[in-house]
Amino acid sequence: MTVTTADVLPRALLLRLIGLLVLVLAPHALRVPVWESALVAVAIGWRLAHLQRGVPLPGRVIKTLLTIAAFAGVYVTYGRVNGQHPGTALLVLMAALKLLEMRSQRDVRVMVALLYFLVFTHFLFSQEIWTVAWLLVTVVGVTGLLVEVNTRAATGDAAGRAWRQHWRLGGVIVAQALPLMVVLFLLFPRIPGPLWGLPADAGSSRSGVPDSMSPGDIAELILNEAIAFRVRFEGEPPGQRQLYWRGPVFERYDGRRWDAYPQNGPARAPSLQTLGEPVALEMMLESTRGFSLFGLEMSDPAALPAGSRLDENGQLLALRRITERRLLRQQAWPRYRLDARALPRWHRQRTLQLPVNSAPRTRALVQQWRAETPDDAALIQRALAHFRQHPFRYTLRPPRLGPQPVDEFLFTTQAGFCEHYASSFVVMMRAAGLPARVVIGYQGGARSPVGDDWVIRQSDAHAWAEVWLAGEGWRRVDPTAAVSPDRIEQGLRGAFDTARGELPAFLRRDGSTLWAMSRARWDFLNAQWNRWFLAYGPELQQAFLSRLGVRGWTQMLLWLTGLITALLLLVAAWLLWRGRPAPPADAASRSWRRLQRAAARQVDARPGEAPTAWCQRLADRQPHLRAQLDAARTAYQALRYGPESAQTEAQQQQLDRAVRGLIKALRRRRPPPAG
Amino acid sequence: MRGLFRRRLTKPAAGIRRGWIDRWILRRITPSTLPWTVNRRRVYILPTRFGVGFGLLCLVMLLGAMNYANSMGFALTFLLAAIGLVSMHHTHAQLVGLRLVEIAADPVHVGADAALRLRVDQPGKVGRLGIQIHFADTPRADGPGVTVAPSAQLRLSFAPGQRGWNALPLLTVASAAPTGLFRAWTFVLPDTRVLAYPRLARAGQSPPPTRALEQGDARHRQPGLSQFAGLRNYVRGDSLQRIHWKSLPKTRTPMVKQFEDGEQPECWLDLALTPGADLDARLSQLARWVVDLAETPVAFGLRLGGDQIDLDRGPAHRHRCLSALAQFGQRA
Amino acid sequence: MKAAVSRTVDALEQVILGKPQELRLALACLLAQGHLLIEDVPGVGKTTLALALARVLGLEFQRIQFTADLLPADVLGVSVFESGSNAFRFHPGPIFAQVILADEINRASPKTQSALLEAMEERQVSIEGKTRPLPAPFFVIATQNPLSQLGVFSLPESQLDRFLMCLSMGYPPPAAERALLAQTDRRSLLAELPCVLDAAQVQSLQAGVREVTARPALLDYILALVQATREHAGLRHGVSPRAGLALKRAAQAWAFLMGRPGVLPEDVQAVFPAVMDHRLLPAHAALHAPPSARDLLAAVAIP
Repeated sequence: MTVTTADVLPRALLLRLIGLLVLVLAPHALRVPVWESALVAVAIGWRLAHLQRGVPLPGRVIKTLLTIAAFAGVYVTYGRVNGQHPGTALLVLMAALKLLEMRSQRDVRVMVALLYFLVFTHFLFSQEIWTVAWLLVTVVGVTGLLVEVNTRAATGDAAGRAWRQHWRLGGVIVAQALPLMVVLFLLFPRIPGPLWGLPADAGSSRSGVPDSMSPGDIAELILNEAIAFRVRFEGEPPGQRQLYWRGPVFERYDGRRWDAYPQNGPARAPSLQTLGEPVALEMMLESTRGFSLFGLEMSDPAALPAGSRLDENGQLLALRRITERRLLRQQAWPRYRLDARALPRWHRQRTLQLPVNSAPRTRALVQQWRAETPDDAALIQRALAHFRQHPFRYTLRPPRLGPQPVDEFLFTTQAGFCEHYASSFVVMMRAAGLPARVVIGYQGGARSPVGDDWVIRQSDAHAWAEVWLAGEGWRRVDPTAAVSPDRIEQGLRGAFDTARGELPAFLRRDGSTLWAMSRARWDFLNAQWNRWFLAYGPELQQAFLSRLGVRGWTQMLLWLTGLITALLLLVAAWLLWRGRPAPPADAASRSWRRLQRAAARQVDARPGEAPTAWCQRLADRQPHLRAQLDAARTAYQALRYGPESAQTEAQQQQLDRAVRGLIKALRRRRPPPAG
Repeated sequence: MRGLFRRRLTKPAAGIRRGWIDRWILRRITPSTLPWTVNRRRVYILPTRFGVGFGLLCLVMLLGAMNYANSMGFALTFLLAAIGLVSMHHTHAQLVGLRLVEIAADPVHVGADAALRLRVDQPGKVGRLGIQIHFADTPRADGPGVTVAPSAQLRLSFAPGQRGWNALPLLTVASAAPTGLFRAWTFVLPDTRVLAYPRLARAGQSPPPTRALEQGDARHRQPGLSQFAGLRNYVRGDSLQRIHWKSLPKTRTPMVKQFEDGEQPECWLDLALTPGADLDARLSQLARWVVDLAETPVAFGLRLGGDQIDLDRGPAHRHRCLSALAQFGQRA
Repeated sequence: MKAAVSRTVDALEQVILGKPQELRLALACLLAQGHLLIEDVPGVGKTTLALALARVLGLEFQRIQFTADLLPADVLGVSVFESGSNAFRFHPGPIFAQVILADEINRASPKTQSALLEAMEERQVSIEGKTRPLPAPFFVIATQNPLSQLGVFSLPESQLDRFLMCLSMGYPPPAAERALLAQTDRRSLLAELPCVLDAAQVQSLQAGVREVTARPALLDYILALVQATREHAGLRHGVSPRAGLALKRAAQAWAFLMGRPGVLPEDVQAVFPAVMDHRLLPAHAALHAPPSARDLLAAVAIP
């Protein structure tokens, strides 16, 4: 390849490019493996050293080796080279390596495309509000760079002082593109669902309640202040005690770990009886990458949200994995009866099952109770009373439990968290011959100080028990409430002794301080962001557009093309207006220019043609206008070239009058009949 | 990967441009008198290779955003697509209203390249950042464009094909600025003509028929202006009166005094007396002599058939002779 | 004053037939206090023009025929020792007149040429340490014969700049030439020319020329023209600032002759070829004649 002058990139341009690269890669830096960040830093440093000190760039062999090493490194780190994480890692590496062989403006163009794409990949990991600013800054910068490299190449402008102008133009283009972007965003038809299925690692890792429960699982969640979902009640919200957000129901127990039996056979509808008044609500659920929709107990099978079903255990499930934020309308019956008629034999067996050797002390104790209290309801009360009467305490840092966790918890440590209480309570019930199971989900929530939303965080994760009673069906029993009623009444914050300092910092703050208020506002802003921007998908688009009166695809596409065309016409008109010859500063010249333009079809003014000669030519073609032309010309010449006098205004009026008359006469085209 | 990056990204998409679009446009071109202003309706625009690549990038992003239901992804994709659309209009505006004010060229000999000087002018405040002007039938070089602010000179080399007046071929006025995603172009056929002198015959083939002025010829004697101009070696036949006797002892060879006037050699070039295979060859030979003689103090005249250019010297005379040679037999 | 100007033009037109434009330009040159160079073959009426101008304007006339052996003293004058008064006495040369016709100036040696040109420029003569002013309206019409290139000393370019205008008379149109042939005696015709003005009036007219308005828009035009000469590739280098000033003065004089209070672009265009053509030097490399002043006028837009 011959290197022409246009191919030599100026230093300043490369420095700006490196700056942009750093800006674009910065959010990726913590996401990619450490070795990769180091490699990128080395590449950037090398290029900088080349620019500043003239250190030679790597040769072909080293570059090839580096490329191979990059692929190998990514493969070793991720086990593959495709997919979201490894793909992003590879792109980052490619951008850094490209920097090392950047020589011509073509390389810069490729880099520009890479930079745009790297901006895109960032959004696969984070879409918070600040990324909007980042998006704008990076896109303006990259576009400015594109303009610079392109026009520099065209002009061969070595001085490169014009870069400010180029970047400003980049900014102008982006600014003009923004309204178009908004229109496209709102009106471009959205298709539901993934096109080719999500890669296994799409999005962030699973969050929220686990698929199974062993001691300590939920305590981890408590430390997570991320929002699980937001809720807006239509009408009066039920009391805090009623707010059980039902997740997976665990019936299988191996002595330590609870989980659900795999579904076999066709899905059955729950046998549900509803009582009292229903509660309607709207839920904005964060993406969990699971199926559970955490319906408020008990979801109405007759008014299920779109794309969901209610399984036989009363868990509200999405038909597809939840990979994006979803807005759900739910209806719930706080009073209900589940499986009230009968419990099938197989189900009874499942919910009575206990591993053979598990919890011998507990079993002994419960069998003794059973003998003393034949009534099922009384037995439940007795078990709960056990928790109350003994010095059980509620703690986020329970001691480690050995091979018999239930026995150790009940008789030795007596310190634990909801999962410990729920787990040991269910074991006690099963030992007493009562069908029982663990339900996990969220409990409670906090009303947002801003707006009327309820915010349910991961820290509101909870585990409780259900016991089947003949005639009544599954009854919810929350043993945690027996130990720490405040947990249920006041939320998690009430359950701890704040002085002991075991409460996570974010839970400790009081809701009345300024900081808390601003945090709440930020939360609210985030909520709106999530609710309206990030969740803007097919459903929201339809709802939004039909509110504006745009219905159906045809109308949507019509509006889309119409608005885009209109906006582009505005841009074109602006450009045309900018490109028109600058109007003369003085009124006389403006009038004269008007006249010349009106007469252009007859006699086009030549560049070096003085008014007299032009008038002569025009008058030769339109003899009847000669007198008027002379008047106009004399006035114009006097105004523009004559000595300054007091009659300027009068002359200007005379000129305007003459020009108006002439323009009218010229429009008529045909000379008036003689005489 | 390297091969991919090396590919020329600014070339117009595929081979479409050379094809039917140009032919369709060319049918509607008539010669235009300068100054010529780019007409909005005559500006054509297509994406460059880079533009097509950019479009594909947007498409990939769109699919990605759809697949991941990623709102920020959608926003970026749509912003980039909008940037593409807006920059198309900016590229279009680079050309609209541009004025080609004049094209000037010095005459050259056939076989040499004439340097055309194009003056381009822009009205208004649109920064015209990269205007390229080239002949429509030559492949476009990657440079050099001009930034027109507010007026610029541009050079273009043109090889005239025949002696005499050469009409300029079709010119393409194009721009890929500001983003390089699109390339707008238009055509102009200026009615400017370039004069081409006859091709120069090879130097030194035959000497021009110079002769010194005879002593008795009074026509060009300039009385009272005999100025001593220097010495030269004695040649047989020089007048004895002119020998510089004083220097004889020093130099051993006789020197002859030279005078500025009276010694003016003159030369008549005549087409009829010029050797050569055909008319063009003879004209070439004459052109060679004219060029050579113009370097010397020899006054020369030219006889072309019935026309005659009198004895004279100087660049203007040289031009007169050469353009007469260039146009000989062409004026009907 | 207007009447005086028109009477002058009328009177001159009786003698100089068929050349109204050249006549007016010459008059404008005089009124602009510049000097005139006429490049033309002998016999087209250069002398007649000079004589007629001098006569109509009531000015003193001198003719200097330049030859190769003409010495500066022959032009400027010489101090001669007079035994009677026992002192040097200055005998003024022919240059001490109000209208000078310097005929075939390119025949004189460079030394003599520059003596004349310096006097023209400074409007005074320095001889033997004494400075003597030249008479008040001082107008030189120099002629140059373009035909014979041999044995002449063409005026160097720097000297050409000192002439405000350079005209070429050209042959008269056939009708005018016929009238010329029909005339009985040109000498008597010249002698009969009325004396319309006198030196003082000419000076007041010259003052009037300086009063003619040149608005900024017009100055912009002059500037654009001057710059166009500097940008043009066919020219060796652009014209000097002096040329710009000359253009303005000539245009003012032209506007004055036309009876206008302010200078129009038309006035600039009218004098532009005369003022500029001899200042536009072809580029060395250029093989053909440089762009004419008219080409420049056609190309430069009037701001």
